[in-house]
Amino acid sequence: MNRRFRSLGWICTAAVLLTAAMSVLVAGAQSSGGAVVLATQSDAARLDPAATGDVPSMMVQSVMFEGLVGWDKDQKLVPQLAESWTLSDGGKVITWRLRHGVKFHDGEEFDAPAAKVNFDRWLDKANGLLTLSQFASVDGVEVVDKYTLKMTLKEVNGALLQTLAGRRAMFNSPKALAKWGKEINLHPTGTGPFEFVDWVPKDRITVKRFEGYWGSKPALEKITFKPVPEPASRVAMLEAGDADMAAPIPIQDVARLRGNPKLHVMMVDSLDNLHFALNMQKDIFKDVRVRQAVNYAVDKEAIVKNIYNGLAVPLTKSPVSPFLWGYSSVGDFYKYDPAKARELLKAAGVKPGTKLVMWIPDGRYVQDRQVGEAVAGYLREVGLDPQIVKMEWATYIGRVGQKPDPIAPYDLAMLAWSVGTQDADWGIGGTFLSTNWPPRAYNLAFYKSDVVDNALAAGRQTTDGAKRMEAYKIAQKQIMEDAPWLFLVAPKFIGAAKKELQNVYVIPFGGAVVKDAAIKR
Amino acid sequence: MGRLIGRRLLFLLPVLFGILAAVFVTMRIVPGDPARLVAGPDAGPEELAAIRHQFGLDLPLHVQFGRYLLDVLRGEFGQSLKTQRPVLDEIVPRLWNTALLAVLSTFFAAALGLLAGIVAAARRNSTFDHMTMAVAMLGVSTPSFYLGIVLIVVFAVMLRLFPAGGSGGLIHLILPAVTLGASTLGIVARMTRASMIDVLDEDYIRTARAKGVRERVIVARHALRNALLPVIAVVALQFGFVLAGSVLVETVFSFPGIGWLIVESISMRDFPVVQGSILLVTFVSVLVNLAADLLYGYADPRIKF
Repeated sequence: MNRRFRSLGWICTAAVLLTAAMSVLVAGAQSSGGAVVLATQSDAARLDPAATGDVPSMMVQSVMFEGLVGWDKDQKLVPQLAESWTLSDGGKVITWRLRHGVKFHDGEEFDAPAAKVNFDRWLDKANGLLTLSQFASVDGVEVVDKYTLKMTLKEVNGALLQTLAGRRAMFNSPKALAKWGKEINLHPTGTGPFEFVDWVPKDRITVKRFEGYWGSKPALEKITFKPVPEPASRVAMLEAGDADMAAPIPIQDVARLRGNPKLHVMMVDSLDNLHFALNMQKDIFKDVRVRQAVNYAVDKEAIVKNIYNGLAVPLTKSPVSPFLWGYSSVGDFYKYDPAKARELLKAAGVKPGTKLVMWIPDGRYVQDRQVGEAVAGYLREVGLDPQIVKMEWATYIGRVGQKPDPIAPYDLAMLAWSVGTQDADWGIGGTFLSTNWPPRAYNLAFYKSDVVDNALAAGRQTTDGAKRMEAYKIAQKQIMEDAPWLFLVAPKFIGAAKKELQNVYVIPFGGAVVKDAAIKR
Repeated sequence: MGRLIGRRLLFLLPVLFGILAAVFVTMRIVPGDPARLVAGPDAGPEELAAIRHQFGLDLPLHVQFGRYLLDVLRGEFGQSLKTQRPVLDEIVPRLWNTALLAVLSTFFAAALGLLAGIVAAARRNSTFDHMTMAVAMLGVSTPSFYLGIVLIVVFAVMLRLFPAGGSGGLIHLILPAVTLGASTLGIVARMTRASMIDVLDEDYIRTARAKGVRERVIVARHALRNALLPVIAVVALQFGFVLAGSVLVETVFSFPGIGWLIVESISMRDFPVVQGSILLVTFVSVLVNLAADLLYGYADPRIKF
């Protein structure tokens, strides 16, 4: 018995020592010298820009890839791999003059043939990429000469430039595409200032400075993107010095981090427009007075102040975020007035105690649960009886995205609509165009307005910026008057970084931009 | 012993099949469109149809299951819908990470728990005994999520002794292992104490004392061996729970383990990863239980297989 226990003890000790030895072999992410660690909310899904749309993927891709056009720090459209472009044939032909001397990370040259290979790949339905609907208006692309590309459209598309800047239209090396095929996702080969090193799933993605970059050489040598799903842990990593930057940061930590002399906090109005869609298939919301009453019943300023600590914009001037291209302030709508709300409900014949089913995607959006409960409280005060139904995100988006049979079961459904193109065409159209009822897209209010449909069409069918703005202004005004939504807030997107990490910023679509970062010692 | 191993492995096959069928059907019944979740809300109908076709999600359920079963028998578990990486490439490194964490946390819990339980039993009803059992109860009842955050704040942020999360060597495993092992430590301490007290009241122990054998020798050589038997069983069972229940700790510490992968894959309706993960975790759990039974038999020669 004694011998058995001794040998058991030795076996256990050996197992633990072996475990410890094996764990030492695993390399980790350390911040040092010209290297930074960025703590993000989740791991990238894929590293092929044409196959992804999530923020964590785009954050990594944005340091490795470039497109014909991009956005600067102020989210203004700027040339990137195209030096210039001209429109002709009423806007149906775009001629691109490409930048010379640009190399992919594998040494291949970026030129018109390389761009065409990528465009053909994006437009080929057989590839099933996420570029199909975004570039549906592109008929084809042809090489005019080594550095000139001609793009022909099926119809004028005023939103196309923004779409091309929207991070899905970033180029992979044709040689890499030919070599890796569908596995290009794991072997990203762009033209950006950083090139891919490795990807340990759920642990880190590492990129290093690309010495052959055509533009200004980055100050950083290496960037490591580290997924940290728990917000408190993300903040802790930053405060402990294990990360140089973290985004997003929870609202409740902002004040404390601002008081930390070693850190600086960054924020920007996000593109998210948090709202409750009012189901106009249901009789109660067919009456505009009821929809307006619901808006008067809820104090959006108080929600911004008390739930978001002031770090949000109330959607009282437009249904969309101020950062969306095409945003216009169309008035001051639905200032908190519960008496007016009761009056409108009474005039519309809504009985006190009328039940309303409110769907909320629990934990999907910043403070979504708290906002939902606050809204329910406000609606109770004006005599309605809201019943909150919470669902996890996958179930929620599956159910709201279903074809109604025959009508959708909710009365109010929460959503925040944010588009990577940062343009009103899809930013408004995705949720208000009458052809975008579920399952096609997310017009969860089942709203139909000829004025809005025509305005959105007009905005799309011209490349004149001023005319587009005017068209979208008409659409926004009509939407605010018709109130197909309970308009709520556009929260800010917040990040924080060590004081010595300069030239980093956060962007409205979500995510942080670190490619121009430098460590100031 | 050979018959036991053979029986258990044979029994494993219908268990795995049943688990596979249950997970396969459940994931497809639960609301949520994996194509939409992969593509994002702004994807159009053509893109969604292409994704569904690419992964065979537009085929009848029985055809999908049949194809999947044949692939599994060939050792192919498919590709992740989210990342398009082979499922085994997603799972195996993470399973290994969680196993490392489970071994370390169990060792920490067993070693400290045993020590605390032995001393508490030897000094029954003393202040040390009461304090040890109170701490043990705290370990059992404190939510691991909360404990993890507290350890991060104290030891990573304030004292800077350990990293706040991630992986990268033994140092990254310490705080997660302590968090994960706290509950097991409490159970082992209490179990050891109770078991030691029972054994210390036995006649043969009284005889040893009467013969003048030193108390330290009585505890370490005569009592401990017999008191350990139920503790071994508990530790082996707890190892299985630790392996399966590590998701909260992995999330708090951003530790790339299997628990985090499974939960995230369920949220994303990444069917192949969920199916493969649960299959492998089941396989490992059965092996762990078998190892526990063999260990118990080895420790107690009275047990015959």
